[in-house]
Amino acid sequence: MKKYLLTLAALVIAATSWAEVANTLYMIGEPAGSWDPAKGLELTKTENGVFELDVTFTSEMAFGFVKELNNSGDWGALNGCRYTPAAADTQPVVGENDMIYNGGQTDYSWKLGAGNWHFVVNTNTMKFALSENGGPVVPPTPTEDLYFVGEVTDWNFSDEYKLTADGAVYTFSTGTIRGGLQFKISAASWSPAYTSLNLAMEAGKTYDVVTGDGLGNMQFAADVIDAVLTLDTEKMTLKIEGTAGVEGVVADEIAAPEYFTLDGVRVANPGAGIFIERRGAKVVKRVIR
Amino acid sequence: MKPIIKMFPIMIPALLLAACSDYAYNPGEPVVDDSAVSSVEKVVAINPGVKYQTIQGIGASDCWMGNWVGRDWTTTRDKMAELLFSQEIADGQAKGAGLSMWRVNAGAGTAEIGDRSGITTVHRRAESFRGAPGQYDWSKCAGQQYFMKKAKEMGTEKFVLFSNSPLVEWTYNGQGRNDRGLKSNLMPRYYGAFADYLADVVRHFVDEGYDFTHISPVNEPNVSWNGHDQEGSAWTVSEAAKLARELDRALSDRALDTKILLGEGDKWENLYADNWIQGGAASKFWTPGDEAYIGDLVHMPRLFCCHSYWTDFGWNQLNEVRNLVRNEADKYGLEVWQTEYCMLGDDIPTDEFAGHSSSSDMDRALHLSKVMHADFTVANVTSWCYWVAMDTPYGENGNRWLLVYLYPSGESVFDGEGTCQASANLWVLGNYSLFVRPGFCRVDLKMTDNRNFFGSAYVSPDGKRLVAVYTNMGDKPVVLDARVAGFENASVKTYTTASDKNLVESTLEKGANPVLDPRSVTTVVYDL
Repeated sequence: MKKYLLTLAALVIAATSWAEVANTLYMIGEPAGSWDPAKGLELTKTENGVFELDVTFTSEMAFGFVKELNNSGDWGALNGCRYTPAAADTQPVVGENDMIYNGGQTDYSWKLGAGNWHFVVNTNTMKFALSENGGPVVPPTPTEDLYFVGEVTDWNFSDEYKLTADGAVYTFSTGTIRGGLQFKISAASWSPAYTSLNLAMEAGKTYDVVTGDGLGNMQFAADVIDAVLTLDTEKMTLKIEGTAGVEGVVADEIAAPEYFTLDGVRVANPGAGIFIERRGAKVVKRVIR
Repeated sequence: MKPIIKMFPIMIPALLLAACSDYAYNPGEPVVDDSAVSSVEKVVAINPGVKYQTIQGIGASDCWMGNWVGRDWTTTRDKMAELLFSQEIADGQAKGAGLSMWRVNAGAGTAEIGDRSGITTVHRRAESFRGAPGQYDWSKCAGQQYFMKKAKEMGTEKFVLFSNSPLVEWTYNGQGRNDRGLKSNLMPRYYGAFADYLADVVRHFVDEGYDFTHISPVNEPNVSWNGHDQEGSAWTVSEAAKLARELDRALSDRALDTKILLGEGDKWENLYADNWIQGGAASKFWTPGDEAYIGDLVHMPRLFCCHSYWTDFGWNQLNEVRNLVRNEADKYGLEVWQTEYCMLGDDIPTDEFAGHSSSSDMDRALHLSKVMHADFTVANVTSWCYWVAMDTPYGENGNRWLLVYLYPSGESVFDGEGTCQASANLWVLGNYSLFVRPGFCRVDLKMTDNRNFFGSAYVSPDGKRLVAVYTNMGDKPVVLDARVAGFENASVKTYTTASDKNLVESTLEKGANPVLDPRSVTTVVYDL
């Protein structure tokens, strides 16, 4: 049995690591705007099977390479001609990096931080060389309107939530932004989509933001009353003005507890046992010892 | 049988009681040339032994002006209350419409937070009863409480607490309007809190002696309510069911008998068609196994309500739609209420209504009666409520929207006091509400009705009073040859609303036929 497994493993490696020489090559993933089988940055072919690309990452981004894009949205077909690392979320190094062509058996991608990067991808040797071009990272310039979008709009784009543009500075004024509700600031195409990746933001502070598809959201720890959000798309900052309010969860937690037995009978002074505790709208089962 | 002599002594010789003079033709039928006919005879047979639905109440709501004029217009408000609630008839004139049901708006608290509420029409913001965090302030909504008090004093039997939007402190956007498309603005963790709030409000006022028979927690859930004119939130069927379950628990916690009233779609299709977001609500609420099933809740009767907006476009549509309503209601064994109506729509056929820009106060009131008639006699509704009881006239023909006109002395309702005036709508509503009291049962009335002449009849619980409401939309008097089984020896009075009469009382001589004024609504009351 052991010998059989070793043979099988060798066959898998043999089947997935040959040099698949490409005629065209695309970088897919967040640098292309989003994970979309039809979207990719085309690399320049410099010789047979060798391609180059200069690209700016404004934040950490995940990416891969494919020989062909797929307009039909077929991820299976796309992954069938995809170059990947050997493990998920591999951090490439400046210098030489291995890649494999695995016939769609994985959809692993690389993750690389912000910078101006130069890629030389050699599909003959199944390696790519990474180097830094230097210079400042130029953030994306929005070409569409930007919106506050999140749970408050059920993640739909609404004119009510369109930011006002003044050059690279976008402003959103509203009555109240509820704490605990996630959001982004994004173009309707989701490119660019700005987030601080911070889930406990506060009024009166300024946060760095990043762009990229598939990144986490942001939210406030508590309600922000008379909120004014100012996004500087050049400085990549989000300034929060307003007054901190009381977020509902906090209000529930400071509400006086009421206790009930598991049968629903209210108990004024519960002793040891299991009870239903209600604070405001929050109901939990509580063991009292 | 003879025509009433007291009222029309000079008319008698001119009466041509031609059986074929049914000048009030129906759409699609040839127009009858009745130019030579000076009045029309109608034969009506009423059989109180054949009973249909039992009426629960007829009324209106205190949205939105009630809270402001009830609080501030201290020299005028008594008159408004009298017009709405009084059941007194003095010197042959009704003092009011005697509303038997009063819908009280449970505001979302948009008035308290002003511009942050998202509601830009200031007088349509509404107060809540929330005081300091976690506490109630029962002195709030003072104007609404004024009208509640007067209603109770003057005999209004039933109160309904209804909500247009959850409290702003529990909504996604912190506003009384909605940004979530056709989903609820209430954050999931606050369903219980909102239900507790509504139940607490009802508990408080039940303890004060008000009979809050129902809580209606959602309003026009099929509308996104993303505008800025008034409070509102959409609700999916599942979200409404989830709230109903919480409300059922909250009502039981407080030992209340109050029932839950669901539906409130902006038009009747929300009952019988699949257009309440994800599908027909009734089929989900009352089908065991559906995720929105609420048929097992203690406080959830087999009751569904909708609004008669947008389905009042002429006699044919009124009847077609309400037939569908009755069929769907019968399928699920549902009682049906009509809970909001005013003349929102603009598509009434011109051969039935002159149009908003050229119609009179009475024209619009006659149309109101046509809608009520269809709702009572075809849809079989057991309750009927107008929308706003009072408002300042605005847009084309102010009384499209209201029962009582408000005329502020300043630029707005908030600038000092003002005066009020009853519209014809109020008196026509009174033709029904003042006489068809809760507990009355609709009974069989046979006649050749049509879009210009129609009627319905109701008998009191003790069987000693019979009330018939007739609408004569034609321009000739109708001589009524009404045969009312068991009421042959009853005393008979009529109450007429026309362009020159506001529920004016007349007493018929024994054996006299009622004569119904042209372009009038007349209630004929038979007392044993």
